[in-house]
Amino acid sequence: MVVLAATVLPVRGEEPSALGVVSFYNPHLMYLKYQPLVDYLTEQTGRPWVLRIARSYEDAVGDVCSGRATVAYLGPVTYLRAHELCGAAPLVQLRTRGEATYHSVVLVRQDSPVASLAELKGKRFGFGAPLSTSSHLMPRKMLLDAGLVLGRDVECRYFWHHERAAKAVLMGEVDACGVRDLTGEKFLQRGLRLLAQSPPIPNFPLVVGPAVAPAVREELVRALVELPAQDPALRTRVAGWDEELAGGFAVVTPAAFASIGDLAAQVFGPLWVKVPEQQLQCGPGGP
Amino acid sequence: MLRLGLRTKFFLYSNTLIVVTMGLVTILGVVHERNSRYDFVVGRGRSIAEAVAIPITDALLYEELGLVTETGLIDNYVAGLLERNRDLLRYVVVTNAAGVVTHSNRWELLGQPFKRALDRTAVGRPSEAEMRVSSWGERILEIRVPLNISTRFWGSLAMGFTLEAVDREVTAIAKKMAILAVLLMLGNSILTALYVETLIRPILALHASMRRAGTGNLGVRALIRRRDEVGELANAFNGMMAELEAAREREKLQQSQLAHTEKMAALGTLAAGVAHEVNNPLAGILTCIETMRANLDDKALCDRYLELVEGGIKRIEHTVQNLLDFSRPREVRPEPTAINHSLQHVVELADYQLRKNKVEVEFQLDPREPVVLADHFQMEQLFLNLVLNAVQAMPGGGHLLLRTREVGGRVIVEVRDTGVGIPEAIRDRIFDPFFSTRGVGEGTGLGLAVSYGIVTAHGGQIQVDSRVGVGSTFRVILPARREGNAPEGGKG
Repeated sequence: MVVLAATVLPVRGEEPSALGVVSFYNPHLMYLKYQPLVDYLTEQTGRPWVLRIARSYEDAVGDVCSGRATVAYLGPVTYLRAHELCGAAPLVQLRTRGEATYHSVVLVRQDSPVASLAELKGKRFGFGAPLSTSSHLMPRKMLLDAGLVLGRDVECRYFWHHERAAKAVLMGEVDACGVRDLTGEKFLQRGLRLLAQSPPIPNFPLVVGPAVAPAVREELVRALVELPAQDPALRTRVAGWDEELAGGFAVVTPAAFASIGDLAAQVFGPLWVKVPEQQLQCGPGGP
Repeated sequence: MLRLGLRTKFFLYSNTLIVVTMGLVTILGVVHERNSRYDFVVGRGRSIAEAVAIPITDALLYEELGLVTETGLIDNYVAGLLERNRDLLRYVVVTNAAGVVTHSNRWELLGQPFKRALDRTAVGRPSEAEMRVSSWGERILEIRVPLNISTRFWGSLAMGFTLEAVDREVTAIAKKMAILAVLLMLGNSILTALYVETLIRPILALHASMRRAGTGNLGVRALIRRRDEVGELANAFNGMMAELEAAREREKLQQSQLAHTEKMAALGTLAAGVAHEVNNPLAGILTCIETMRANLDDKALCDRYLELVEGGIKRIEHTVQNLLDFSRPREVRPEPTAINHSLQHVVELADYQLRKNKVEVEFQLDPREPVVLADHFQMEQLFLNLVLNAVQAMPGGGHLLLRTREVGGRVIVEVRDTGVGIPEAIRDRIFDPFFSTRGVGEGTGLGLAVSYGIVTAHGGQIQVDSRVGVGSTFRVILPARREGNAPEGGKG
């Protein structure tokens, strides 16, 4: 306990580096999931690290661009916003369950009569945050592909977190929701049913701002990719993290996210990257 | 019967007492233990639920005011509570003011109305605690707390704590207590049995001694060395037996003295007869002597008369011998005694009295010649007493029937007279010593008492049937002598 505290607490006199994260989940859950990664970075870099939870996806972009977060754990869409804003670059990519991709899923209540996406016409749909890839962009694309116009055929509502969106379906606040696969799986045991699954989405990148020194970038890649590859003990440790992170990381290039940029432009419009997050919401007057 | 009864009764009584007491103590103990554990769970449940209600209410308030977005704060509380009270807490249900579930680990309840949700009327009341069985069959303590600040009501919180662990503990305690109780009962039973044994054994030994003493064995002593009441009882019993034995010895001595006295009295009665028996031959002898003196030359006559003298003298000798035999004090010695012969000898002894009193004697003797194990002389004394008694009962003469029979291992001797009979009023007293219906100097009053003593000493009985003016029958019943059997009771 003492050892752990010593490794986690910032060394006096040195400003801790921050791992920025988009608030995919509620803050409590965020700490449970990502604090082990922060502790790991502190140990492997020999410098103190802290978790910096952004109040919104847009704030997370601001954090990484301003340097308030040395490195940020962003969704693909958020990364693209940061790249567009300040030239932020993806450093490594999650390998959840060993995969370079993940999925978005559309869920309804188990007792829902809805059998296809098209049958969601006239229903209420719950999203996470407007800049969420798996909880907005992808499900929205799926609805569009099913011939539904959001705001007209489907009533939209944003719950800002994946879990809250799924719970809203259980609560009857909306009839369906779109969330990432891991969250969706949890709710399959809680009374929801899988309606549709998206095509693969490039997995989450860890992104650095333009001001981050190459040495720091190398240090991070070494800590997250090279060291676990060499050291079985570290691999074992990584494997013990939350399922989302347990697959470790791999080096990634911006090209991996090009398709998502195209998709966002298709769904939100060509200027989507510069549109404030609030304006990406559907509903009366929405896109 | 008694041996088993006393021991079993004592054992059953003490064991029933122990079983009932231990059973009650165990049941009360288990009930008390269960109640105190339930109380503890209720207390703990209330304090958890009431403490948790505060941040949940705050979260609802802040979300309502928009100070925080609904980010799953309450879900976190719920998850944290369940995580930290995994062994105890089964569910948490938060309902809104309308009673609809908004947060719960039981996801199927979300959005559904909760039947047991508290409404506004619960504000200001203490939290509710209810023992119930869940839909999955588990015993649950449900604590329900209103979510309110002052009278502003947001909804309610229900927390379900399992009673399984408590019930398991109580069951385990009950089992342990039951095992302990059974062991204690067994131990108690064994100790009680041992104690009963040590307590009862001397009593039973004393009882056995008493039974042996009851068969006439006065030499029996209880060999019990204890300092308690049983020991005192045994000492008292031993003292009593010693006294009885001494009394028996004294009685035997007195009996023997009485018998001798009576014998002498009988001799007196016989004396006249004896005198007559001696006198007649003597007269004949004198006549013979006178005749011989006058005819000394007649050798043939003298020879004939000498034979007569010799016969007379032998007759006298026989008479005197009989008398001597009868009168001599003797040691009592049981031996096979032919009853028919004894009776015939007695009649011979009393021949003079019988003839003088014109008593006609009739024998009805069992041809199987019954034999008893008895003192030969005592038997003759017994029958002589009865014969003389009969003669005296028939002052004007009469009929005397002497009858013997052997029936079912017993020899019955009947002496029946046709005398005056015995009035019923005194019939119970005729065997008492010194009781006599005759005048002073006419008898010792001991005849029938001595007869009674002789009969009982030989393990027999003496009965009398009598009708005044018709006659009396004395019936002596004695054990028949068989191969290897001694008279029951012996001579003490």
